[in-house]
Amino acid sequence: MPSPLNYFLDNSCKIKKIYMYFAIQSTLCLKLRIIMSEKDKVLRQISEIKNHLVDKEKFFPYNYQACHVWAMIAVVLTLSVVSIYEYSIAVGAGVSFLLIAIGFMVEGSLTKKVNERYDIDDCTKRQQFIMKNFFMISLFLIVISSILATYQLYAVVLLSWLFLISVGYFAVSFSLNIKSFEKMATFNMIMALIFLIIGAYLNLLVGSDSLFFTLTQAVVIFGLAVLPSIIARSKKNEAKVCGV
Amino acid sequence: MFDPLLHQPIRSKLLSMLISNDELPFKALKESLAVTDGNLSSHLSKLEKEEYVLIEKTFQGKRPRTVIHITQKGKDAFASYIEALKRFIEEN
Repeated sequence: MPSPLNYFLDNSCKIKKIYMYFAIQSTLCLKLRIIMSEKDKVLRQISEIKNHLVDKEKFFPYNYQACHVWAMIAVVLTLSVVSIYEYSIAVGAGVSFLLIAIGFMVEGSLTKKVNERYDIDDCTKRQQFIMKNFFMISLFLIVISSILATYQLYAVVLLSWLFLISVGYFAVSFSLNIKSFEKMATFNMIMALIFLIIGAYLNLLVGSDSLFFTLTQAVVIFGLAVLPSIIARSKKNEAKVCGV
Repeated sequence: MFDPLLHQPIRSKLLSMLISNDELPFKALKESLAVTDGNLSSHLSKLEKEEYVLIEKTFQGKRPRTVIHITQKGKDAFASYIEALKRFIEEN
């Protein structure tokens, strides 16, 4: 049996080759690892840059507290729509206008407060866009509700609110890049159309004492009060986690 | 390979925000990047030294207000940096 020394001398060339092979392999592995970690870093950097380029609401935030205020107004209006419009169309339009005006005033002061935090004095273009959008929709809804209430089409009044305010939310989601608002708005618009078709088909759109009307109220409260509040809460929590 | 001034997370985020808005108040940058006054000031002075940004200090009534502007040199440097990042990803 050859001694280890003889074995080494006999096979030194082979061992050298094997050693070289492993040395090259480990160097390549190390280089690859360095490139991979650099690549990871670059990918992370690109993703961060992309977020800060697109995700502007992080520093021009919408004050999600306003969603809770609008949710309360939606509940009050949905539950009182029949009684106020039955009392008088003018009173109905007046109460709607008053509540919506209160909503805008509260939203305005909340926006001012959040802007002060960021040292922004005026309304940003996007905040103006949101305000104008909802203001026009609200005025249109007050007019259309008065006309529909004259014919006691209360379910249509509620469904038009659900549909048009969701159009507003859709615009906001587009402007602020909030996917959850977009999904909510789409869901609400579809629900409004389905209810309108069912109501028209079953001739249940007139009056307010049917089960259909109660279901419509429930859908409107869910769509305009519950869902926005849930999204607002999750957005506020997200902002807290991000430290914004 | 990459601009060492921009290949740093805070400074690249800072320039991304300025690229999208041209100018931003110091406070907005600080809140969004979740950094301290001192930390942000140190990053900004590095960028200012290379003339990537311009720091404007004004008074609004009695309140001091600092606004950060991005310069053309800063915009060009950022565009080249993004190109370098893209090239690196394509090559590897």
